[in-house]
Amino acid sequence: MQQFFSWIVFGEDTQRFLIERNTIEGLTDYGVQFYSSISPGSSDSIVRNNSFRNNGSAAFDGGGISVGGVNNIVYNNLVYGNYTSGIRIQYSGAFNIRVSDNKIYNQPGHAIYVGNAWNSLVENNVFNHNGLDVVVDQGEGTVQINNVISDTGTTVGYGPR
Amino acid sequence: MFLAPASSEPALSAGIYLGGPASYIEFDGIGGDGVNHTSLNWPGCCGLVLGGTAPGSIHHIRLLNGEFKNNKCGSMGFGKASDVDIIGNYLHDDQCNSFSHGLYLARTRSGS
Repeated sequence: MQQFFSWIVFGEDTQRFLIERNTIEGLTDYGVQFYSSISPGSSDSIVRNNSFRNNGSAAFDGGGISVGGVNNIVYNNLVYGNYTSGIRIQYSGAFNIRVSDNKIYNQPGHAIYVGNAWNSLVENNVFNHNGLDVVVDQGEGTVQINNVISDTGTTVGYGPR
Repeated sequence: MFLAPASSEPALSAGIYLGGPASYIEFDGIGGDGVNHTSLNWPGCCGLVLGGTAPGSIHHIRLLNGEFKNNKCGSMGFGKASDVDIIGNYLHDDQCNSFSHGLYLARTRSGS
């Protein structure tokens, strides 16, 4: 039997996942992680209508959702009280990721962090009472549209790399 | 209903494990409890693992309405799997000496 939960054999070619109406809380790192060390990574998946709360820890950082890969969509989620960022778009191969219509609040860190990512779309999200910059954009070709911000950090769009 | 593997041996005690070709399977109301797995090191235990042997060898799997608790080093992990629905589950309170994600969709190079 192969060993799993191991860096060596842990997965490739994950496509068309639907992650819906789950409650995910109390993890030491991200509630959901799409990670790729080879481009392209996970693709054509949807994360919607979930609650992510109280994930991440001082030991490992982490937060609500970390999404990389290609053509993945994160929308209509409640994300709050996680350790660092609410939603991160990041890691090699993060391309054409859409993060929309999420409510992100009470995050000590960023509501959304766009790291090494290309052509991300961040739209129609509601941010409330987050600690740091609302959206940090260090990707390329990121588009931000119609995000609603209240009582939160001071910077929208940290600037391109 | 909880699956709580009694073995503490790493990796052999995944709660739900599909390691070969598998398709069109639905789990409804079946969760995992890692209470018997004491190690906080990788590999962990005891949620859902889908690990296909070839691209597309695992597909059309549905995991519905389960609770996953007390897991160690991740509740769910996937590789070489497609068309998977994870709906209506409650994942909470994993522990690990390293990071512990709830759901982990990964593509990693061997040894990385």
